[in-house]
Amino acid sequence: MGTLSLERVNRLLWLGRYVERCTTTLQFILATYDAALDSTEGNWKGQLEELGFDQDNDDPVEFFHECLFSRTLTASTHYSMSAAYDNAVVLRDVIGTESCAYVQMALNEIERAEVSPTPLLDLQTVIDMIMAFKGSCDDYIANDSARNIIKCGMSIERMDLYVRLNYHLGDLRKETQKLATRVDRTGISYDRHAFKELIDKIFSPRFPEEVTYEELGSMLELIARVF
Amino acid sequence: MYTRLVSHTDKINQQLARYGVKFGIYKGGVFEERLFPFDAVPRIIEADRWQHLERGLIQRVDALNAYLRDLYNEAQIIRDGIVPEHFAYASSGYLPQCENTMPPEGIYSHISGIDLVEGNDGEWYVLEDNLRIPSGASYPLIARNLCRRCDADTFREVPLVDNRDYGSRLKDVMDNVNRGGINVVLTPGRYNAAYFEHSYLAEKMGAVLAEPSELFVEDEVLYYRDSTRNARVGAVYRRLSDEYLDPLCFLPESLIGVPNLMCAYRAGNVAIINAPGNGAADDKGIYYFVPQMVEYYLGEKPILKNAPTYLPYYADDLAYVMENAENLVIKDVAEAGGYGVVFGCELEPEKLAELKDFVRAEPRRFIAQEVIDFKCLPTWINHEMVPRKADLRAFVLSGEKTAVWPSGLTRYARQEGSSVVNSSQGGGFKDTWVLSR
Repeated sequence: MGTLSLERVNRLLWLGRYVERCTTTLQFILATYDAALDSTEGNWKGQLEELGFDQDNDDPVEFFHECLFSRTLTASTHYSMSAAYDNAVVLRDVIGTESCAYVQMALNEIERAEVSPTPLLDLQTVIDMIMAFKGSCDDYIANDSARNIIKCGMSIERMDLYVRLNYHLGDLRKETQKLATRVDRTGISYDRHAFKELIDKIFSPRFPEEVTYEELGSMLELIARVF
Repeated sequence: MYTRLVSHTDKINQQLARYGVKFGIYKGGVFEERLFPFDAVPRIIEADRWQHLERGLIQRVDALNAYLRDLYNEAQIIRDGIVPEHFAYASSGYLPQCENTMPPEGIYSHISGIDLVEGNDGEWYVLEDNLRIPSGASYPLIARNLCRRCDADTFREVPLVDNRDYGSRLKDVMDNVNRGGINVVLTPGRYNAAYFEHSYLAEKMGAVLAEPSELFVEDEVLYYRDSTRNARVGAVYRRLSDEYLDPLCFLPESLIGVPNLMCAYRAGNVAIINAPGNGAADDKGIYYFVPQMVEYYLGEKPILKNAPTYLPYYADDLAYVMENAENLVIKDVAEAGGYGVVFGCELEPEKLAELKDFVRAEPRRFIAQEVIDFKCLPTWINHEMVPRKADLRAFVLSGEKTAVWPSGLTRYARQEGSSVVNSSQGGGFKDTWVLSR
């Protein structure tokens, strides 16, 4: 592993987490918005309320605008991308200017979408930039450890969100396998017991069909303990 | 020569935004990042004029390094009365903590940023020497790359000296004084005005970008706090001011310093680039004496001229300044970044009288200079070519030998008639082309 302080390991991990948080929540918000187009009766906010968005806001346009572009709510896509940028920009010497540029552009594109007459269409470019960033990690980040830490950050965040939102639970096994392959290549220490326990739960024959909310809660705790 | 390139100005600026080429500024206590406007019309310096400038810059920086070596050790120049004792030691940049400490290889200013203007008389005039932490090289460095991508034909046709080796030049400078261990760029952090440059240069020279909390000193050795094993640091390119560098030696309230860094430095276990204490030689007041330093240390006539400068500290100069204040530019020696610079001709009579009173009361605090009628450069603003005042920051690197980076940061004033080119005051930048023939 190259020269990486604990501070930088932490930043690499959170770079991955925030990039993934932006991607997954953006897709989730857009899916919820799409469903809400057909009806704003009943629970049109879906599980977005659980992410901390304004439960009292009954105006769909304002509500979704807040989910996407709020500067203060920590679950908004803008907030996540901005946090990813804050981490990327202090890691330029590790991840390289080219990779850093994709994070910068994703943030620029969110800000452009905010004032665009077709924001939802333009947000696709944000996803494109994030995907380009993910690809660029393989090409431009020479430090194996750094690259794997970012990817582990992405995996752990995706697992966290899937469990939190009870969303794509069937994909958790694939995500866990990816994490298991990469985690030992990071060169950093992690909670092996928590990870093992998490694997047992995810690969249980009962999962995901018969999983209970309590079990999902305990999985969230395990996910939080891994790194 | 650059017509095609200019047509791509907007695209180049978009690319600069893509790469996060920004500078930070605190406005009303709030940190803001701004894009640094780039003008694709370059400053062009012909080969023979460059050679002259290069010789003058090397001579000047060699003299300044000799002055710092002397000042902090034998102080012979003071004994010989070339620089008045009071003047040298009253400089706010003079650090008694650095007395009798010789940096590795005897180099104090490894990276010197010399600000010049080209007068309408064809002469280069030095306006300021920046020997502490001169910034700005990263901007023309990245811009050149983008310009080459935008208009390859221009770069194929124009015989230009390549400037893209700045990172490896910096690495050589660091390696030359490295005391064993890794090279580190020490940044105060993300909210520093020049953060883009810190991170970009670290990447280009293959050094580790470190914040103060990632460094520590043990047994007079500086270490980088690695997550697996601590790595010894042999050279640190610090991008924070002297006073914040080590809270146990300078400002105790500094939260961005590395405790005991100066102990490691004094023990000769780490090189600090640039050396602490360099402010004693780039003080606006000391600037007056640089031509004398060239003659004193090198026995040569200065190749580059200073702007005609008056020190109100001397009675004759004070009298001249009082007589001619309305025609002079008066500078507060303690200020930087374009602040504390007043053009007498722009002041109302009452304000001018007030300024004269200030100068009389604290003559050491001010210098006065003749206003140089410096050249405007063609600049593409709002889709038309207009003349704008521009300066040049040349970067002189002192490693095994002293050499000038064949490029530089040309900054231009955005407003017509203005001479204030600083980015913090709204100025933009240009690439500086040095022709190879």
